Amino acid sequence: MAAADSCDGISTSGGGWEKTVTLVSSDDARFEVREAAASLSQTVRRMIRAGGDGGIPLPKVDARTLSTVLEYCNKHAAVPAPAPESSSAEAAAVDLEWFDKELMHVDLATLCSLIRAADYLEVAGLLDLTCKTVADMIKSKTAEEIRQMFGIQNDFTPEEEEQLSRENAGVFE
Amino acid sequence: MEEPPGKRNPPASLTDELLVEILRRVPVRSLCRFKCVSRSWRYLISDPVHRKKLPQTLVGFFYHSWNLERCPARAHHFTNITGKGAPFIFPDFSFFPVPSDHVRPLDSCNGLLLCRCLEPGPDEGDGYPPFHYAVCNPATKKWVMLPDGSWASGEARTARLGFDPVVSSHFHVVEYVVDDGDCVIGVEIYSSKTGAWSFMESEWGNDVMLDDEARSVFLNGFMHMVTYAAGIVVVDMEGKTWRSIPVPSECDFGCIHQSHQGRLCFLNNDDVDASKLLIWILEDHGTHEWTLKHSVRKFFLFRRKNLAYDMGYRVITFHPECNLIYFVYGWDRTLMAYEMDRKEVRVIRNLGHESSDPYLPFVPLFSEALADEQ
Repeated sequence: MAAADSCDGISTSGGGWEKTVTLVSSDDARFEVREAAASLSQTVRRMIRAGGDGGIPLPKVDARTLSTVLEYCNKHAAVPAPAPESSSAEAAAVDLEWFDKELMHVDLATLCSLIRAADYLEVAGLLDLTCKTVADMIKSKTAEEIRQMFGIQNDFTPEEEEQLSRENAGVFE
Repeated sequence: MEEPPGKRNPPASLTDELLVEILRRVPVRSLCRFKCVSRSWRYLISDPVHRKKLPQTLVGFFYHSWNLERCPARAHHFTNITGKGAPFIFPDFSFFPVPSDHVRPLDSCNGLLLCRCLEPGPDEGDGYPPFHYAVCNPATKKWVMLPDGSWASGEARTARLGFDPVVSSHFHVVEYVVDDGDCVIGVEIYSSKTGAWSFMESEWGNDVMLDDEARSVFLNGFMHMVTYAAGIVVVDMEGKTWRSIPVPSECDFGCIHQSHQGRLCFLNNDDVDASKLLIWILEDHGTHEWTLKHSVRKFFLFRRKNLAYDMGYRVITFHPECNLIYFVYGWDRTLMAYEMDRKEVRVIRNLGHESSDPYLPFVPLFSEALADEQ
């Protein structure tokens, strides 16, 4: 095997032989993943290149979060690249969009764990997806609602608050 | 980071960088509101490091004034509309290698400003003094002087700036080339990518005369400009696609702006009842179908009757985030805002009767990008 010792398996999926790697979460759960899927994470890709024994340790991601990240990677790596503008390409795009939407049906705490994981693992597509989802969640909220969602104390004095709301009134309110 | 999700308060444990990743994806209107969440959120949103990434909005207008009893007679101004008092920008243009009163701002587009820099020296009298075009970013004080194009000495063609940082860090300058009868025969377009001007012959047909004091709209890579009898003329930055959009008016006299939903707007006096100002939106660029979005009596806006369009007021911009139109009105050049949704008029301040067009809207751009900058 060309890559490294961490590529510790060969599986049959979709009728072809595919290289797999083992990822180890912070709570010692092991995930065997196709290398193509795991390589959507730039962090993992670098570690595969570097080589190592007994799987790739990911001490900053717990099993629950990692399994969601891998669900995303498996789906996105599985998509073949048919000719653009063909009907199958369009169907695949719609399917992927649907999948992403379903995957994001989680609470804010889970989303934030996914954002941290996507950032640490450098999965650009997932970072964009999760940040967009949170942005959509919060964009219509008032400052007070944001404080509640994020558990933030209002540390402005009443005078400062008055001043701030006056500044905003200049344009929007 | 190892703790299971949900146990603590995970959102609060996001790093500033990750919080910015979220905040850069919310509309600027929400971002302004979020400054009131807490001190740390306010610092985060205003931090010079982060604001490069975060969306910005209209902060004010550049304009100039003219007073012969003063030296220099011409002065640059910036008026702030954010309600924070001190001017956001100090418009002295001292970063240019020419004296400030030799700088002529012509157009603004998404954070950049197109200016003419007049060559120092005594006024020769005939025609426009020799000049070079320059493009600058007033927020970062970066600037670039463009090479000269094909214009003759003494000539000052209508020029407009096209720049969309979402699409590219490069900008274009479009110069409309006219014949002796002021009809457009082509455009000369400068691309900051190639660093050169290129001339393209007009395909709009004959007798196209520009309203050269009107604002242009740079939208989806196309420059839109109002003409006197040929609707709105549109050209792409390669000079390959030439179109005309008919306007929803018999008298063909109005101005164009970009609405806060990124659509082309046309404002004109109602052909039937000239006391009404109409605001149209182009819903579909393919069919050229205009939808009447709003209509307002000018009496309501200005408390005066029979104001002919353009005689006493000028629409200077739409707010990029909400249904607000900014006007300059009357002898004192009163800067006013009209909120279409609530039908409310607000007087912002008098700019003074010495103040003069062009009033250029400014949305700051904090990113370093200005192609080929000095």
